[in-house]
Amino acid sequence: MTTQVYYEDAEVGAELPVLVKAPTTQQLVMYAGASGDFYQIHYDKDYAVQKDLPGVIVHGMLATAFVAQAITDWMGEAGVLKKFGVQYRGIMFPNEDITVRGKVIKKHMEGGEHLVECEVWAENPRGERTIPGRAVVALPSRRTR
Amino acid sequence: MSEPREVPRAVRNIMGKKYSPATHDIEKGAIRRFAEAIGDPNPRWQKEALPTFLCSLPAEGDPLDPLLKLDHPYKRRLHGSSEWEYSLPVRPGDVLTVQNSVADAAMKPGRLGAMLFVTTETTFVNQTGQLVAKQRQTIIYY
Repeated sequence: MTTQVYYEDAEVGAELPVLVKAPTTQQLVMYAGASGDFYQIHYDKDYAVQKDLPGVIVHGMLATAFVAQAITDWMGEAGVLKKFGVQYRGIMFPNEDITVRGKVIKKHMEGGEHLVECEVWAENPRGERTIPGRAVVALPSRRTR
Repeated sequence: MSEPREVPRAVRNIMGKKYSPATHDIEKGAIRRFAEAIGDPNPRWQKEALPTFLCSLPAEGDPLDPLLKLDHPYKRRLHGSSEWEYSLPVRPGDVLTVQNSVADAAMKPGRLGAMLFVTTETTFVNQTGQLVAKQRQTIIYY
């Protein structure tokens, strides 16, 4: 278990720990069941090919969940995710690494909260940022109480 | 037939449309299965829903295909973006009311010519009437 990150620890430019995922097609089926997204391009290869895809592709929302995990892993138990947004810029395939990276880009206090804004993204093995995003997290401060 | 350069009337007519809300019981097991599907072992999700869990709660009006029931000329659809604002945690035992609406539609120049960007909004309100989260999705038609 990693130690809690505090607002004072988060430096602009600091990188979040990297998270690497390589979902299997079985995982895509689990995600379809858990999310209710049964679009066949995510588990039926014939269907995907018929839709002009090279094969089954990862749900954009699953890759988004990976990006969210990188943030929630970093922010710790006392961190609170306030805002999170992503764009869908590229497709991803199962059995390939999806690497989530991020860095702190801004920090400020607002409404009594200590807010840290991060740029985060998922990358495919070719280094393309398939899911670029931003997140705002409220972190605990050593100065309260 | 080429795609229109202006927001089609059928689309202008649904701007601001609010669909019927749906209620969902937030279940610990459903959250656990979602976390397992993502491969996120954080024990926090035993007591709280993970951030993208909200997308598993459907309601009338598909936020990923807002033009579904309309007569429109677009052959293709892309999911452009998703954004969430979280106000309160969502916990097992909560009952959420989910409501979709069409927030905006605009033509924007894209790589493939004029493309229609439709933004939908989804609100999530808990059993005490508090807004727990808001979601915006942009879908691109071309």
